[in-house]
Amino acid sequence: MRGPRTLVREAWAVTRAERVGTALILVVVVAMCVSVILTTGRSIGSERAVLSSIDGEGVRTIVVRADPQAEIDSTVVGRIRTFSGVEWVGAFGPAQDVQVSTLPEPAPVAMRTLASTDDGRLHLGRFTIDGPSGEASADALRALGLLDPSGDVTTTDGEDVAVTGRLDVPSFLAFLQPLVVQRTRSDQVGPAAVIVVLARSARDVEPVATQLPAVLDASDAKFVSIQTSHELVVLHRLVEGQLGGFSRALVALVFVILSVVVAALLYGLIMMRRKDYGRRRALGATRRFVVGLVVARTVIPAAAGAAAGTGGAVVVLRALGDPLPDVGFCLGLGILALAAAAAGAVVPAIAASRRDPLSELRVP
Amino acid sequence: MTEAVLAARDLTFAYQRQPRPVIVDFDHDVLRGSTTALTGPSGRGKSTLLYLLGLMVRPSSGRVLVAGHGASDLSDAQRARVRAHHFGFVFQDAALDPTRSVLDNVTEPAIYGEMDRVDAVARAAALMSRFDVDLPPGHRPGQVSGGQAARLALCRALLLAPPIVLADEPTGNLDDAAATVVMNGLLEHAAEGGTVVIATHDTRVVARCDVVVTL
Repeated sequence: MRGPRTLVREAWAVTRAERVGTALILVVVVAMCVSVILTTGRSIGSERAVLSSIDGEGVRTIVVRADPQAEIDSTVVGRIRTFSGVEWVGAFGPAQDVQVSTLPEPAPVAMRTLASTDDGRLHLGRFTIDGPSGEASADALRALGLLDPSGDVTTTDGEDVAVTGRLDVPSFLAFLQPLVVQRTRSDQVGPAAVIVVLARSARDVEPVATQLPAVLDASDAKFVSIQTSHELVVLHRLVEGQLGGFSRALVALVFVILSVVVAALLYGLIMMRRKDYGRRRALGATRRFVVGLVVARTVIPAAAGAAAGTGGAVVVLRALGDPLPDVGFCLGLGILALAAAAAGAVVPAIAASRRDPLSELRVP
Repeated sequence: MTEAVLAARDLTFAYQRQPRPVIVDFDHDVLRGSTTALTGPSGRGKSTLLYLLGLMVRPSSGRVLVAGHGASDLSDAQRARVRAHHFGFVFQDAALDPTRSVLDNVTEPAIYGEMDRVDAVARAAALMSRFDVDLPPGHRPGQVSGGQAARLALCRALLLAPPIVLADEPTGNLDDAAATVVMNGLLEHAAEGGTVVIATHDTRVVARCDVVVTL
């Protein structure tokens, strides 16, 4: 007997020849995939949407406020960046008021130094000049009365600082607004008054926050406070896996049912085609070939049904404006549908392989 | 001396749930190039014996030898391979697959034997032309007559030019003309070096066989 190519070719021919059986398998798989996408798929899409809204930078932010007595400096950034759950760290120096002294009623704005793992997060420019300079946020420029990110601001000590650009303040640093960041040399070490740590995910917040005190190197912990969005972290944990939890169990049940339905369907088809399988065995088909043939002729329409059912249901969800499951879920669903159909085909396939030629072909 | 291509040694067979065996201690050598008729009244086990010789069922006791080698005690997969390469079968009512084309039906043995699809189609076309069933390839068995179906079954049996052809009542429902065509085809196969064993109660067939075994 020839190899897998022969089996696949024959399975394809049987799929096309036995149209009713093929159509029934296809319809059952389409129905199962559509029902799963429209229920569990939609749930999982909703879960992702909810999680993405509460998994924003705000919930992942840890703010460490250090009094000067804590004596924490900007080298803390290097120590914190080694944590695996940390996406970004910035150490802001103590606030120093600056204002545009040439204005009649100048408004003060806080200026801070910054040492971070990635200045690009604030889109700090690379333009440097000799002498003190800084970049201001849009809020700071408005507060300072500057129309453009240029001009000088003056510190309370009377030192002039040139404003050389506009920085973007991401949402998790909004509490520092309005903000001017004074440029410093990358090797310059200064005091750290506000240390902002952005965790990679809400799940990482608690472990990172727990590890922080050990690396802050504060002279006295009572001068340090660590804040997290604890409530949102708890909510994240509650939502993750819970919203879709029941639905996942439903998926398992649906595909067990699919297997059973396919098995029953195929068994009926095989009983109707007993003579066919008896003839195949008489002409030299091994049991293994017959089992492979039945499973393959089931998987072919199941694959088409999985693709059509999943694709069609996604189109429906999109048309309704509902949240969509991710590609991984859809692919996994397709594979599960194929596996369930193939599993359902095994027992009928074995029954087909055991058709006795003498019983099936002898005419009484 | 002509060799025995197929032999039965003390062959006994009983159906499950039946108290008495249908075949008891059957012993016979089928010689190469011969035509053998297995005949006898209905219920004597003609078809059963044919299927035993064709390794489709295991005997309750005794052995079937193919080309001098024990074959009935091989594994199921091995017996299937022996059937695919050594035997051609003409079943009682042609046993064509109604869902497939006549060409697919005739070329089916190539799936289980060692013949490429292209060669199988060419060989099938030649056989169908030889036996005057030159039908459009897409024709279905439901669109052919009983005589044409019998000839298609004969073409299928001869596709791989097997050493042994087993035929179970090949002229069963056929008129004289159709029966003659089928019988001539089997005799030609024997004349070309093949061996034919026919289970039949048709006296026309019995009369044309070299060896008659009455059960």
